[in-house]
Amino acid sequence: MLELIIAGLTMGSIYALLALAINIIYSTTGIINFAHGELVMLGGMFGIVLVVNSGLPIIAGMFIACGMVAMIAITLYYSTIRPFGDNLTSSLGWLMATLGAGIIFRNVAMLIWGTQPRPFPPLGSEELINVLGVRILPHEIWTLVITFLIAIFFTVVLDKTMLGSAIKATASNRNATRLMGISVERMVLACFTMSGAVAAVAGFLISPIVFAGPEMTATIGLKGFGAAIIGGLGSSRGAFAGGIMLGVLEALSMTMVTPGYKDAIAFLIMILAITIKPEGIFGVAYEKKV
Amino acid sequence: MLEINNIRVSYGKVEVIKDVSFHIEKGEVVVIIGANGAGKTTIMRTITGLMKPSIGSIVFKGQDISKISAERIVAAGITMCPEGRQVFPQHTVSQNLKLGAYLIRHNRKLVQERMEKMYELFPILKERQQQLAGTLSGGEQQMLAIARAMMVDPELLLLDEPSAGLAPIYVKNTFDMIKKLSERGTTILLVEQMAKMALGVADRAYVLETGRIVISGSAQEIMHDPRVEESYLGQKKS
Repeated sequence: MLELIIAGLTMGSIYALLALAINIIYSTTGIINFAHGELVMLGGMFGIVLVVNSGLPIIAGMFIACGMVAMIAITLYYSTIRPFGDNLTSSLGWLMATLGAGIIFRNVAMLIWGTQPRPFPPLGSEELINVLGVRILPHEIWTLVITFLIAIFFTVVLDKTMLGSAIKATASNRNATRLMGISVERMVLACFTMSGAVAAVAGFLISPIVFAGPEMTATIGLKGFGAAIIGGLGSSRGAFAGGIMLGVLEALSMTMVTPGYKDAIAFLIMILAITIKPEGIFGVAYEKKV
Repeated sequence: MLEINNIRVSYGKVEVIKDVSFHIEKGEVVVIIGANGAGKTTIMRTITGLMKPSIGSIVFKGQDISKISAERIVAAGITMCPEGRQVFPQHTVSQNLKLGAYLIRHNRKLVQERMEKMYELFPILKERQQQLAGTLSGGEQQMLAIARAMMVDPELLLLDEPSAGLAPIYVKNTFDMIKKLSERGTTILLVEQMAKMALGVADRAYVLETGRIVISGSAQEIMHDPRVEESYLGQKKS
């Protein structure tokens, strides 16, 4: 039972990492990056190249992959979102464009690396350690800790810094933000950079669990999106809580039904959560004053 | 200080500003009056760079700013208090002011000084500094929007319909504040439907009708122009 909860927390952390990154882009541009799962996958594949094939230490590889995926995220912005102009809520072009970009990423990854999933080294040792009678992998602890730190980092940046204040202003009113002398474009780029870097971290954390391959994030990407909605789009705290909740519930449900239903259960949880509390756990509904 | 030469501005295929020229000298309060849909707000958005003229030039202190971005125009010394106030509702009052001071954010002492100055000018904002801007009344939001635009101590302040949607008591308050700011040496371009009040604080005025300037002159002249009296001041010709 406890092992299950640990496994749930680990998967939940991964969902939370995805949700955090999806959120930060949502909060400045008001759109969902549907290619985010594929950015995570690319993070994992770069990990294969840098760590497994070239023998770099994991941490060094992770930092390089963060930079690379951040650059891909920026390119993604310029190629699939920027062309649709400033008023993104009035068009759906970005939706098809980011979905399409995701498919392209996946197919290019298949061409380069093949479809075969590959093993990936975990963080820390591969020996199980005994914590309070439960046998867990150090990697699982690392996953939880890193996710928690990133969630705190996002919360601090958004709530306590001038950059965060400007990012939130961009989310709330682009033109008024520009009238403050703030470059909205730069705020959006900052968010895509952060989102890309976090995607790479997520790629490194998830690859040892599910094996690294072009298809590894096919459903995980969607669940990350679901976690963001469960927590309330735009809230870092919500993204974290939503991800963890989804992971744990999904793991616990395995005690009652066969693992084959795992994804179905996860999506059922998402649908239920969205039906019961559409604005999310931490979502704030406020009225605009005219 | 600011010279607008023959600008034309369109929304898509509809031309809203048709060949408009005017100028503002240092220290003046200039008002543009006109009915709804005359293009007043469009002129303001064009000066601040949120919209671009299809033709014509906007020269500020000898530099053509008609093609540079909105954020660089703020750095050049023009700020605007936009139509409908547009404060950031989920930021506190003091956070709103800090955002207004974004360009000088590295000089914390200066930001602090300016905030104190604004709290002096608008005491109500000091009381409400930790409150979310979205919870303020319309009049208080107007004060906040003006204070926010004043944080970088602009050379030219644009005010887009500051009286719109305010209770009468706040309208008077707002115009008193405009007078005060002008006495402190800020050059102001004001766009208003409340013609009488606006002319009361202005040095010069332009009347805008369907995208064209039809009358111009000193505030006094405009106030007594029979065409203006009839259409904008609601007085019947005797």
